[in-house]
Formats: sequence, C-alpha cells, structure tokens
Amino acid sequence: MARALAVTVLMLAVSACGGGSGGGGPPVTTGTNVAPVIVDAGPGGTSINLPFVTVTICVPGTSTCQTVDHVLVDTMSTGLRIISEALGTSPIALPQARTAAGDPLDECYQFADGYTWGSVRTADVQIADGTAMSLPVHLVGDPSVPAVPANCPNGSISLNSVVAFGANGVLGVSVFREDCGLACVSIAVAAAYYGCPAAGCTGSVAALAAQVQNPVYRFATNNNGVALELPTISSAGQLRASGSLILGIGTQSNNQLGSATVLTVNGSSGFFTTTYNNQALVASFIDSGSNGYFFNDRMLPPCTKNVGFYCPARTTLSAINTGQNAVVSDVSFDVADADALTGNNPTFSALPNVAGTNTLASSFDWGLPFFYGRRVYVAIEGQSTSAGLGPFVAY
Amino acid sequence: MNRYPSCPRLKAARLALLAALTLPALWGAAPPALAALGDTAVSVSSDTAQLRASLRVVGGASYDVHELTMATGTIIREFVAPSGTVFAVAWRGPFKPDLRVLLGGYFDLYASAPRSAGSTRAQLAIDQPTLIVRAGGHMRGFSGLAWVPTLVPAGVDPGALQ
Repeated sequence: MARALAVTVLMLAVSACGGGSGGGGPPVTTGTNVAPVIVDAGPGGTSINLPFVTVTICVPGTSTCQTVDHVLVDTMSTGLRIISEALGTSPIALPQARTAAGDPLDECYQFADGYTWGSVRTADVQIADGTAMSLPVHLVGDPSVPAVPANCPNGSISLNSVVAFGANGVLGVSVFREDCGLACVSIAVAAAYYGCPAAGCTGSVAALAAQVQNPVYRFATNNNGVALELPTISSAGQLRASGSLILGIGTQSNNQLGSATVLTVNGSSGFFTTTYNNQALVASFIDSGSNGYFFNDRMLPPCTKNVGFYCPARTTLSAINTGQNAVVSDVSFDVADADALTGNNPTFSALPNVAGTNTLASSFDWGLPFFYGRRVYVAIEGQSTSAGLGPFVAY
Repeated sequence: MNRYPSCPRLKAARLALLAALTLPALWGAAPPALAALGDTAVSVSSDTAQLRASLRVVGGASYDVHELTMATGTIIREFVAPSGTVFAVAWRGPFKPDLRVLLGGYFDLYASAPRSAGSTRAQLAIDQPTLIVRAGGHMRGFSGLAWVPTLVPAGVDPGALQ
C-alpha cells in the first residue's frame, strides 16, 4: 500500500511540473521504433538502477509467441539471453540450433563473476517495430541441455536463475554484432560454444551467423545501433524511472545524433579511454548493465553499509573521455552518499549519483547514473550511420 | 646482457624467448618453465601446453614476468619472485583463461571464497588471507589479477601489477 501511494504522489508531482519524463510517466521519446524502458525493482524486487525492456520471442515464421518483461538492457554485452524459468511452465518450443556437424549447439557465456549455461535456439525477436528473423538466442538454464560442462563455470557462480541473474533475461545491444565474433569461428574457445551430442558436450567452433547475435544488427531497418535514454531524476532518487530504447541512429526523426559527441571505441574490446585524476584508464566503457559509476578515487570516503560504494557529501567531479578517433569529451558528474540515498528511501529503484570502487585499476565504468538526463547512442561495428561507421558510442 | 652479466634469470629469459620464436611446436617437449600461482617456476612446465599459449619472459629487478599469449588472444602474465615462486598472475583479453590451470592449488579457494562487496556481473573481488583477486570486464574484454600476499617479494606493490 505504501508503495502504491508513493507512485501516485510521484506521478502527480511530475504532471504538475509539465514534465512527463520521470516517475511512472510516459517515455520521453515516442515513435514506433521506441521500446519503453523502466528502471524499477525488477523480478527480485530489490534492483537499483537496472533498466528493463519487454521483448517478444516467437517460434520462427509463426505467430506462436511469448512476451518476456524485465529483460535487462545491457550496452556491454551482445545478444538476447532469456532465463528459461522466466518462460513459465509452458514455454513456446523454440528450435534448437545445431553445429555444422548437426549436434545441438549450446553455450556457456561468461561474466566477470558468473556464467550462464543453456541452449542456443532460434527465434523471431520483436522489440518495438524491429523484428530479427530466426535469430540465435541463448536460452539460459534450459532444462533440456546436458549438465554444465566441467570447464564452463571456471570458478565463477551460476547465473542460471531469475533470482541469481536479477532479471528475466538480458538484451545485449553492444557495439558488436555477435557475442564472440571471429575468434569462435576458427577456434573452439574454451567455455564458450559446445556441441552436445548424446555422448556429451565438447567445445565447438561457431560460425558468425550461428552465434548469439545483437538483434538490432539483424533488423530490416534501424539496424545500425540504438539509443538508450532516461530522464533526469530527483537528487533523492525516485521509486522508478521511465525511459526509452530507440532503434536506429540517424535513421528517423527521433534518433538523430544532433550535436552528440561521437567517440569511436576499440574494435576488439569496445573500450575507450577515460582520464580521471590525470590517469588514463584505457579499459573504460559506458554500461547500462552496471548500476553505478565504478572508478577508483582514494579521496572519496567509503560507505559503511553499502561496502564498495562511496559516501561523500554530494560532490561534483570531472573526467575526460577520449575516443579512438581522438575526439575528447569533458564529463562532469556528481557522486553522493550511497548509504544516505538507499537509507532515506529504501523502496526507490532509481538513484542518481551512485558510485563505487572498480576492481580494475585501468577502468572507468560509466554505469546507469550516466544515463539519467542523457541519451546515449551505441553504434554497431561495421554499420553505417550519419556519423560514419560503428563501432562508436555517442552522447 | 652486459649490464647484468651475472643474472641467470635474464639468461633463462633469452633462451625461452628463442624457443618461443623458433620451436612453437615443441613447447611441451622443451618446457620454458611456467607455473601456476604458488608453484615454482622451474618445476612446472605444463601451462603452455594446457593453455595453448606462446611465451615471452622479461627479467626485472624484483621479479620476472612470464608472458603468454594464448591462441584466443588473451595475454597471461605470471610474476615470479627471485625464489622462483609465482606470486601473482594477471590476464587480459577477449576471454578468461582456464583459471583452474592458472590458479593451480588456489583454484578451489577462488571458486569457493565469498565475494567481497562490490562484486557484480562485471566485477569480482576476493579478499582472503592467502588469495586476493581483482577482476572484471565483459566477453571480448576481460582482465584480472590474483596474488598470494604471503608470497609477494618485499617492496613489491601487488595491486599495481598488470
């Protein structure tokens, strides 16, 4: 009840301001190529700063479809992964993909600390007015696949359930076309693709077209990238925030680059350089799947409750992003007390100015707070845009 | 060479580099002395074969660096103390290396240790008395560093290794 009351108050406040971009209101941008994005508590009820979208998957060439809500929009992974249990007790039967030898093709996908294991299946994937026909997708935790191969976990934890993953799936709309790319075409990369005949799973090569792929790249139009935008939110945070995932870059009136700064990124890693405190951090990136800014600054006081996060009185910091194209962008951002933000409003899922330490010394992770009040474009490798070929990010 | 005429590690480094340049098919037979974390560099020769990697060795003042480039493009560095013990390992590249091979006897601790606060899908920190790990990234761009505090040579800042 308290939660419902808070939503009502918030919506009233927004409309009173003549806005409509915040809270539970409509997305900022409209159009048939726009999928609404919500930052809310997620399937587990505890998410903070994770943007979710709804995706429809269909048995290829049919109208047998299922809609999956709360799929995480992730600008630093590639391809659609659906947690099997999110499809419920009567999931649609998506065809199993196969290796060149005709064996079932399954995948182990690695995160920094965690892995997902499941089948590769083909689906017609719909996001707003974009449809990717017969797209290879990862059905994570698929009960029909064999047991996890011994070398897949590699010491990390299972993310094969909705609770463990924190979402019903992930929509990877990075700068890349495929999740693995050329490496997996020529080598059976360990802990990636597997052929799984009855005798057991062994590592397998996977042709580019067989790999789990960025759905956007496979759309008929608006296939050169996406933009993700979120409204400016209250400095205290909000119960939730509504934004937009806009298909295409410079292809329609609602996705023009305008005066956005274009930073090309490393074609192998997707990284650019962030200079912070005079240190060049060469493995930096903009990641909608990270729920804070993550960088190292020993001058920022650590939190006592949210260990690993920073708890200064609100302060304004600056950094410089540099693309491979030598384009330089000065960025000013605020960091506030994460313990106060979460403690003052424990039910809020959209919190600005949240930051924490980075486990990597050479990395600045521009997570979701960077998107509040911004539109960030992600252009796919090799795809043509009004600002030249991807891969690039722009904002 | 002339500046360090008595440095046997530098000599070993040059031999290993030569082997890497000329005998790529024979690494398993002519081991260039690689080791898992905590092992002695001269006693183990299996990593290049198991990881399908090429090797480069650089001598340093406080430690040697054994650098392997895997066929997948991931670069592994093993930091070897003057005693010959691998006190730290680092990786950087599109894919995570086989950590069971790289971490050796510390792999089980890596797999079971509680993750420190701040660990997410994109970040990993482990802080155990005998194993510290700092890792992160995404497919196509992973990196990480693991070290054994008790094995780190005096004067070396393990957190600054890369």
